[in-house]
Amino acid sequence: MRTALICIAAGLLSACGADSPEGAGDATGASTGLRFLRSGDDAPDFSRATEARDLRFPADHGSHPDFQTEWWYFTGNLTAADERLLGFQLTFFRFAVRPSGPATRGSEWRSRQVWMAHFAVTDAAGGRFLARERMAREALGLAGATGDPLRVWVKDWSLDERSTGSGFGLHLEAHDGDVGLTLNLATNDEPVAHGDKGLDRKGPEPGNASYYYSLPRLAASGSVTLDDEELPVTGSVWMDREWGTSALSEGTAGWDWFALQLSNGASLMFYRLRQGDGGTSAFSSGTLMGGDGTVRVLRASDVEVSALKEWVSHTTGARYPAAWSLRVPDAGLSLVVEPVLAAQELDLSVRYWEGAVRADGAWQGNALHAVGYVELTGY
Amino acid sequence: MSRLLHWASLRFYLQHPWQLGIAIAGIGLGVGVYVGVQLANDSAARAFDLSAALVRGQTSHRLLPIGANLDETVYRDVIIEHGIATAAPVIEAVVGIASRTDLRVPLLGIDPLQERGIRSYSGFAPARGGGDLGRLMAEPGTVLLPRALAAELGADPGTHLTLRIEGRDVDVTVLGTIPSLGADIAAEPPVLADIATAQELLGLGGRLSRIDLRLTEQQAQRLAGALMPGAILVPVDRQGGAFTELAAAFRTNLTALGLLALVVGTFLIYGTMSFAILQRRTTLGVLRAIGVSRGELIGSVLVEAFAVALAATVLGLAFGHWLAIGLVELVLRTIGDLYFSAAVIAAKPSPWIYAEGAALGMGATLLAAAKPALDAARASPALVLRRAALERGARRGARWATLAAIVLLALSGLILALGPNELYIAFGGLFAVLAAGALLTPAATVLLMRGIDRALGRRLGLPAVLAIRGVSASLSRTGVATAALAVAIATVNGVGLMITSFRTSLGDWLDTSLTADLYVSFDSAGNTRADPALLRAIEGIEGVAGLSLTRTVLVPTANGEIAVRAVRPGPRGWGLELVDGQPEAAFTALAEGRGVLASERLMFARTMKLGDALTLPTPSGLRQLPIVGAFRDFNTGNYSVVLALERYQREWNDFGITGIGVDLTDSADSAIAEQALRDTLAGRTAARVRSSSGIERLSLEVFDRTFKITEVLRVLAAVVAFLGVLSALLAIELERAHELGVLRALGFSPRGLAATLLTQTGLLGVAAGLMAIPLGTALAALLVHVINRRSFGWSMSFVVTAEPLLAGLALAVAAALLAGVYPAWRASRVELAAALREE
Repeated sequence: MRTALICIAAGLLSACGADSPEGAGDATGASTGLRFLRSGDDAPDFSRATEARDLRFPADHGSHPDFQTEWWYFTGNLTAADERLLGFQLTFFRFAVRPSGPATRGSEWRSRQVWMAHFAVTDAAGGRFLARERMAREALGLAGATGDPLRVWVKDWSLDERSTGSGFGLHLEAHDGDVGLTLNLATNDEPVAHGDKGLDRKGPEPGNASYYYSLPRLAASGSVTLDDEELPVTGSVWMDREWGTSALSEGTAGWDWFALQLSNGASLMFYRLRQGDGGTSAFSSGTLMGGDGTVRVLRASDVEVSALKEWVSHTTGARYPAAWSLRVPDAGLSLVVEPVLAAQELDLSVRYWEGAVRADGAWQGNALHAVGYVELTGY
Repeated sequence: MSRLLHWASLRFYLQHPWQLGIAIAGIGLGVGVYVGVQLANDSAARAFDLSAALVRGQTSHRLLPIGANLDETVYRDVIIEHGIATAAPVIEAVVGIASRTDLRVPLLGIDPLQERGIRSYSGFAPARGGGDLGRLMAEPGTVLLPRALAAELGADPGTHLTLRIEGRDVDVTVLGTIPSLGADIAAEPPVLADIATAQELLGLGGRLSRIDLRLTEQQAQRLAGALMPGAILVPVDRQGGAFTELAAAFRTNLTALGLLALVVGTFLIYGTMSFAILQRRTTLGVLRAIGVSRGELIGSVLVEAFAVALAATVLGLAFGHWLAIGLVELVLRTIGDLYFSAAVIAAKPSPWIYAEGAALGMGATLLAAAKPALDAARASPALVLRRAALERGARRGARWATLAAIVLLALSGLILALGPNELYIAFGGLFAVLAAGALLTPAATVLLMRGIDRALGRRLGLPAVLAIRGVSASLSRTGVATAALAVAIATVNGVGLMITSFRTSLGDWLDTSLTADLYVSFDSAGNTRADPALLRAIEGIEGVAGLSLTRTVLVPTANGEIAVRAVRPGPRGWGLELVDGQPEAAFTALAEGRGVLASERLMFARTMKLGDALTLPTPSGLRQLPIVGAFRDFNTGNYSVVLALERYQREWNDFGITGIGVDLTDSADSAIAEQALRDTLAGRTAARVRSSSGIERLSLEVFDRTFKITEVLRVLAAVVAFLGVLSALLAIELERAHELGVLRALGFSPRGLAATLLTQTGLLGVAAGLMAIPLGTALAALLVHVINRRSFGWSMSFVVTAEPLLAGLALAVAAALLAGVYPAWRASRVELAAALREE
C-alpha cells in the first residue's frame, strides 16, 4: 500500500488549494482530497480490481489508464565509492481525473491524466534529506507512459526500459538543481505478486483493491549528484507497481508500510492500515519472500508492529513514529527497525514520511540485519 | 514660580477660549491633512504593490511572443529540452457576457498543475465552493468565476453562463467561484479556465499568450541564449517599465501634495502659536519685570505649547484617519483609471504614518512656539512692554525676508536649470519658490499698502486710510497670516492653471488623434484578420469615406515592453502631432516604412533622441528602426511607437488587426452610419464600435476623475489658510481693543469701526490674492513644464487664463472678509469705558 491514492488526489488539490487565502490548511486539504476521491467513486466508468488474474509481462509493467490511480515506485539504499550511504526514492504517480470520455480536439492540452513524480535523497552522514517534485498533465509530451519498451516520464524525469536478452533492465533519470540521480537497474528474478495472484484487497468493499507486484532486489549502479558533485553508487533497489480504483475505507486514518531486504537473502513487505482509534485494520497484509523463491502471504494477525520512539517534524509539526519493533512470531522473525535519519518527511504537494531504514534482529535464532524503506501517511 | 506661570497660561486660554480653539483646530487640521494624504497614498501604494505581486507571484521571467502568440511547442521545449520545471503557460483575453453587454471581463487560461511555486493563482482554491479541479481540467467549457461577479450575475455553481467571444455566444458551465486575491486587499480575479478550455473557447488551439517562469540566474542565461522561434525572454522587473514608472511618479506627486498641506499647516501652527504668545507679551514682560528668569519663561511657554500640541495632535490624527477613508477611494480610483482595468481595494497602511503625523504636529508646534518665546525672553522687560518695538522688529524682519526670498529664488532657478533631471529636485525647486513667495509677501504687502495710500488715501477718507495703514502697522501678526493665505491661494491658482492647461492640451490631442469618426476595436488576443470582404462591406456603407487599420502588439525590447502600433492611415492621415522632428520628412519616412515615430514619453523616459535606432525583435530576427520623430502622447499605458502597417506585416508576418478607424463624409449622418456599421459587424466577428465623440467624452471624464483628489486638497489648503487668517484677525482685534476704544471716543460709530476693520481684512485678502497671481502662475509653469514632464513625460501647452486667477483673488478676499466678520462684529460692540480703562 503506497501513498498514491490520497497522494495524488490531495496533491492536485494542494497544488491549487493549500495557499488558499482562507488558509484552511490541512483540514480543508484533506476534506477536499476525500471529495476528489469520491468523485472517482461516483464515476463507475473506471475499471476496478475485482478479481484475481494472472499478471502478464511486459504488458503489466506499462500503464493501465482505465484505472484511476497507478504508480511506479523505486526505493533503495546505495553505497557511494567513498563508502557513504545514500538512500533514494523516485516515484511516478498517475491519476485519472475523469474516466475516458468524448475527446475534444480543440486543444492539445485537454487531458484526463495527471502525473506527479517525487524524488528524494537521504544523505545519512551529512544529515541531509532533499525532496523534489514534478507535476504535469499527459499532454504535449509533458508526461506519460508508453508500453514495449516501457517508458514513463514526468517532465524531465524518466524511467526507461533497458532490458538485455536474459533479464529485465531499467534506467532512472531525475535531476533538479543541486541533486540528481542516474541509475541502471537489472534483475533476472520474476516479479512477486502480492495478495491473491496480485489482487490486494484494502477493505471490505468489492473493488476496494489494487493489483500489486514487486521486484524487491534490482541490482543498481550509477550515480547520485549532491551539491553538483557526481558520486558513483551501487546497491539494491526495490520496485513496486500498483494500480487500482479505490479509496481508503471509512475509519482508516493512514498506513505504515515496510519494505526490508534481509541479509539472509529474504525480503519482507508489510503494510499496517491504521484505524482512527489507533487499531490495526484486518485488511493489513504483507508478503514474506524467501531468498529461494518461496512466497508467504502475511495477514494482519501474522505480524506485530509497535512504535518505539517518536519524532516531531520541525517544519510541519507532525508526529511520526521513529523506530519500531516488527515481529512475525510464527516465522520466528523479530526485528528492530530504525530510520537512518529521523527527518525524512516530504513536505511537497502531499505531506508524508518516506525514509531509508536499517534493522537488526534474528530469524529462527540466527542474527541478521536489513536495509529498506518505510512509508508513513496520515500523521 | 513655575506653578504660577502655568496658571497664567491656563487663565489666558480660559479667558480666550476661541484662541485655544483656533490653535487646536489649526494644528489639528495641519496634522490631519498630512496624515490623511499620506495614509491614503500609502494604502494605495500597498494595494498596488500587493495586486502586482499577487498577479506576478514569484515569476522572475516571462517568455513573450514576438508578434501575436507563442507556439505552444515552445512550452514543451522549455520543460523537456531545457529541463525547467517552474514554467506556467498563460492565455489571456477579454470576453463579454451575453446577458450583460456593459460588462467585459478578463479571461485567464492556466494549467492549475503548474501554478505552485510560481504565482498566487494557487489562491484560486477550489477548497470552498471552488468546484472540482479535475472537472475544470477534463471537462470542456468549464470556468471558475470571481465571487463578486458570480453574485452579480446570480451564477451559482452548476449553472450555465453565456460568454460573448469573437462575436459568438458560447455557453460555459460555472464550476465554482474564486475568492478575491490576497488577505487584506481585494483585487478582482479574472474568470479562470483551464488552458485547454481557454484555447477552445478563444479558438487559439496551439497558441499561448505567454509563459511565466521562475528561473535562477543560470537558467535564465541558458534559456536566453537558446534559440526559441518567435519567443523572447524578459525579466519581469523590466517588463512593466512604463507602468511602474508612472505609478511611482503618481505617488511622488501625491506625497508632494501632502507636504504642501503640511507646509500650509505649519504656517498656521506657527501663526497661531506666535499670536498666543505675542498677545501676552505684556503679561510676559511683567513676569520678567518681577524676576521670572528667561529659562523659566521659555520653559513655561514650551510646556503650554506641548499641552496645546498634544490635544491638537490627537484630534488631528483622528481627523486624518477619517479623511484617509474618503481620500483612499479617490486615489485608488485614479490608479485604477490610469493603470488597471480591474478594481483595487485599499490595503492597510503603515502605522508609522500616525507616528510621523504626531511627530510633525508636536515638533512644528514646539518650534513655532520657541521663536516667540525666545523673543519674549530675550528682550528687556521694558522693551517687551512696548509694541512699537515689536513692529519695528517685524519690519526689519521683512527686509531680511525679502533678501532671503531673492536668494531662495536664485537657488531654485539654479537647481531647476542645472540639477539632475529628477522628480524630487523639481519638487525641491517648487517648494523653494513657494517659500520665497511667502517670505516676499510681508514686504509686498507694505509696498502695496503704501501705493494704495498714496494713490487713493486722500479720496477715501480717514476710516479707509486707517485701515490701509493698519495693515502695514500690524505686520507682526498679519504678515504670517497674509503669507499663509498667499501660499494657499497660489497653490489653488497653480493647480487650477495646470489643470486648465492639461485639459486644453488633452482636448487638442484627442482632436488630433481621433481622426476617424467611428472606431471598431476587436476583442481577444488579436487574431482577427483584416478580412478583405469585411473591409469592403464597411467601405460600402453609405457615408463612409475611407478606413484606417491598426494592429497593436506589445513587443518586449531592451527598453521594456513597448506597444508597437502598426497603422495604415485613412484619408485624414496619421492623427499624430509631432513634438520633435521635421513633419514632412518624418511622415514620409514613416509611410515608406523607413522608420518609426516614438511617443515623447518613451523618448523622455529612455533619454532617446531623433535618429536613435530602436531595436525590435521580430520573428525573423532583430530589426533596427530609426526614430524619425516624436509624437505627443497622453496615454498612460505602455510606451508606444508607430510603424507603417505594411512594414509590420512584412517583418512580423502577422496579418491580424486590432482596430479599424472609419472616416465619414461631411454629409453623412453619423448615427445612421454607426448603426449600419454595427449591423455589418454583427455576427461576423467580435467588435466594439465607439464614436470619436464618445471616446473623447470618456477620456475627459476619466481626466476629471483623476484630478478630483487634487481638488479636494485645494479645498483643504484653502480651509487651513482661512483658519490662519481668522486667528490672526481675532488676535489683532483683541490687541487693538484699546485703540478701538480711543477711536470710538473720537467719534467713530460702531458701524464705522466695523467697516474700517472689514476694509482692513479685505485689503489683507487683496494683498494675498494679488501676491498669489504671480506666485500661482510660476507654480503652474513649474507643474506643467517640469513636474508633469518629469513625472509622466507629457509635454503640454501652458495655458494662462484669467478665470482661475480671478477666482483665486476672489477666494482670497472672500476668505479674509469672512474671517473678518466676527472680529468686526465684536469690535463694534466694544465697551468704551472698559476698553479705555486698560490704560
